[in-house]
Amino acid sequence: MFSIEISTFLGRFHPLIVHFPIGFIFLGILIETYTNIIKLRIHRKVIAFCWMMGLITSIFAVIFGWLLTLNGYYIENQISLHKWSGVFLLFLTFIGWLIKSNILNLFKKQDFFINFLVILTLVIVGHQGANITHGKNYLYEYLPSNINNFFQEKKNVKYYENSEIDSIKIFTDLILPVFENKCIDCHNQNIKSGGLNMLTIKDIKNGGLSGKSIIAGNSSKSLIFQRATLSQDNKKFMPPTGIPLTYDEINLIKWWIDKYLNSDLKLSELKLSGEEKSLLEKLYKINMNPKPYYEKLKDLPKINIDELEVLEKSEFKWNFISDNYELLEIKFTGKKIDDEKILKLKKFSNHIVSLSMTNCKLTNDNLQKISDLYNLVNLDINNNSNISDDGIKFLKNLENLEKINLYGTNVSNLIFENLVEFKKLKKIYLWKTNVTKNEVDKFNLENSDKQIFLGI
Amino acid sequence: MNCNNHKHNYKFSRRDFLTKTSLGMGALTVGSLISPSSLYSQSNYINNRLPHFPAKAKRVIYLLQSGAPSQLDLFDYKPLLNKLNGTELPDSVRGGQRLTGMSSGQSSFPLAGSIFKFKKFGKSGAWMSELMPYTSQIVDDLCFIKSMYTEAINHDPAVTFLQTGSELPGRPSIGSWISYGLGSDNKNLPEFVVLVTKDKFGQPLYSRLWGNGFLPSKHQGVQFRSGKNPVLYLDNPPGVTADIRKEQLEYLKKLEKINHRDVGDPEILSRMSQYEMAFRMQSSVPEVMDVSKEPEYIYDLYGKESRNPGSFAANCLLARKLIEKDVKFVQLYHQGWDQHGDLPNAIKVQCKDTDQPTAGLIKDLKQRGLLDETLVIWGGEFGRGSYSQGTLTKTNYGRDHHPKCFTIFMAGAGIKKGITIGSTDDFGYNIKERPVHVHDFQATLMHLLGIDHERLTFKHQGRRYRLTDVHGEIVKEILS
Repeated sequence: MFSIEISTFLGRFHPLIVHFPIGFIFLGILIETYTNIIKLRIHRKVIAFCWMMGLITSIFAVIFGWLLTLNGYYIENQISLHKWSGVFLLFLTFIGWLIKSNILNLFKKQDFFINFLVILTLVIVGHQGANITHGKNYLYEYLPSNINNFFQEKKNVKYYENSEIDSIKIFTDLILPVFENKCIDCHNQNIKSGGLNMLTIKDIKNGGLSGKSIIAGNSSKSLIFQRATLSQDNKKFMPPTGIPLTYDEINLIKWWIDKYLNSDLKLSELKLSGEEKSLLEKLYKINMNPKPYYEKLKDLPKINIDELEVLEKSEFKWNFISDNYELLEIKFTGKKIDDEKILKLKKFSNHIVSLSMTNCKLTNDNLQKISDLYNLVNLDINNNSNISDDGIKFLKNLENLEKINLYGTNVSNLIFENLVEFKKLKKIYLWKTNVTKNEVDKFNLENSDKQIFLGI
Repeated sequence: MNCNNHKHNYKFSRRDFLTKTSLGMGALTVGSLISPSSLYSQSNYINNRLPHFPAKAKRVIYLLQSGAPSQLDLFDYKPLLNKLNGTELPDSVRGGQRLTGMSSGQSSFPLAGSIFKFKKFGKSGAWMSELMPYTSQIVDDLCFIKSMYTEAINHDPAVTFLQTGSELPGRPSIGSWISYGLGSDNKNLPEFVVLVTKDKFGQPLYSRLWGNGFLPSKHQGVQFRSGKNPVLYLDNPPGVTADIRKEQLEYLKKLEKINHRDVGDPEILSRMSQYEMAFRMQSSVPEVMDVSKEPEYIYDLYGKESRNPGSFAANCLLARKLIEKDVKFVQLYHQGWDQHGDLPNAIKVQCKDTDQPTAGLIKDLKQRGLLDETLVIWGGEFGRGSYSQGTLTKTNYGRDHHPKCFTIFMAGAGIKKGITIGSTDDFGYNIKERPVHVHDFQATLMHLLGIDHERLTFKHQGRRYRLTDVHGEIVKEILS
């Protein structure tokens, strides 16, 4: 028909033209209602004329609107409601004109009914159109905030403030959400604008009609990056409508293309610079520091403080780690411990996160009795010469152990086989034991996440 | 006697009367539904809601270097000063800064570069001078703050400020606040112990630096001395046996109880608990002070002087023993850093006293797994200036007080390892980045112990006081 340029040029008159049908139809309904109320008799042809003008201008509005959609700037599923309700309005205006011109006579209350229906449709069409032009929150933005919250469209932003960094994947959780917000509407498996689908790494790599969309390690030559950083009045700027990518999002994409394109690594597997960390924190509220254990143990039942008296009688000193957590630190203060005393801890087995039984003639068998302190994070049993490698085997259920102090015990090089099994263990104190330096060095090489302190 | 702590005052103060009776009126109507006592906040005498959040550090060892060590000769390497050695300190750098009366009369302010050699150490590449060969070996465990600053320009107000958060005497010391806030982990020893290096001279130290201020007196620091009587007047007089002392205390307790019932002064409770503590300490103190069982290599670690009771080295060793016994706050004082003249010679002596023991202490804590829970702090009350006080010669110079920047280091619980934060300009005169005020340091210290410095308060003379007054921001960069 026309070239895209001409149709777009004409199409952009659509927002102007739409005001004519609104005006004419409103005028028609207004005259009709007003004369009805004050019982003034006027010629019905006046009303019919208004509707006719409404009909004619509606036709133009629809045509021009249609032309505007042809250039591909608008995303079908975002404008379809406006488009088809607009066409429906044209149809209703036509029926209305037939009625007002006495060409059609349907039923008794037809005048009221068609007026109501047209106004309702008009509001819907108008509102949809304004949403496209001004953005969805334009109307509600300055409402009082409590009402605003009800209307305002919730922004679909993902945050990972409560996620562990080993559960966050680079592409799936960091890159894809940006694409979903800004690109996927036009670049998915169904609508492949420009032949590009951006849902998977593989499809992105395959690219579209303009060629490969990304080149690993070279963001400045990658089309995705180029298009997003063009001048906004350039025709090839992406995204063509809506909010462009933010500075941080662009940086994120650049970082991904330059460094990690070929895999969907977990965040915990990367070595990030301070700048990269602060970028991720800003965009996704990711806390790069691993969460402390107590945050994961928030929902334990409350401890009755009177019950803790039992522990005091058995020479245990207890402390809550703080007021807001039901977690206990326990320290044995006596000179000699036995099974009976240790069993007193059983009642609080889920609550104990730190246990110290130092220099108290603790034996391997005693250790068996603490094997159910599942939430234990810190175990200090230094200076108990009866403790040997056999005792450590009893501890293997303590999956949450992060620190174990065994200095001054009788453990030997055999302990390393057991230590490997503690996934979360970070610090091991082995000063004054039978462990040899060679074995420690060997262990350190293979287990860089665990730190062994051998002393002077 | 501190009337503000008076139990009767709490009961009958005008404000309390009004709040309680007005609440009481309401309580009358809903009395059957809720207990009115739940409407009153806890008296601030008892802090049973601490720590506010899980603490990174359980204990603190504060190695206070009294007299202000010269950061320019120890940590803060300024090659420009060597280059410009002898030339005038530019006015643009000094910026009208007030000087002490000791050097303000000087006709010239010649810049004095350090005569000591500096080198980078460890993986972290921290600058250290040759004066501290032992500490240089452990820099990867340390966190340096090179941009500390204070407001006071003379020792007494500065050290009082550092210790109590106010330049004026009368506020509680940091250790007292912590004792008040967190209580005791070992009922046989005080929560706050003070060790002062013996036979050192310089700026005076006085017990109000570890005093309880307006807090109940049981929170004051207890000084342990070297020699036969570590705690003065703790031993029974000749002829008084432990049994007699015990019986005596029991009678005294009965009398004090009657007294407390009638007068209501909480200091009576405080005194009673101190008597009892003293009795328990009669056996616990000799035990903890007995270092005879320490093996040779431990003495070697802390240095030769550690066999000499009362030396800084021996006190460091003792500090470790106290920490092992769950004492919350151990404060060491070492005098003699106030080197207005003859700095190059005097500082060597000071470093010899402190370098090896400090490094030894940190290593010893580390191998025992205690460094994870213990915060170690080393530093003075302010810094020293970049111009020479007195005549500058090739081998000798002096440095006057300089509050605008100084360096401290920390190690241990909750602190990042092997980092340096803040920096000073090329003249070592002004802070270039990340200033850390004394109140910021105090706030951070409290934070590491699980205390929100804004919430640990004590009501005195009609208002609530806190260590950091109305200031203090946590230095987040150094938290691990």
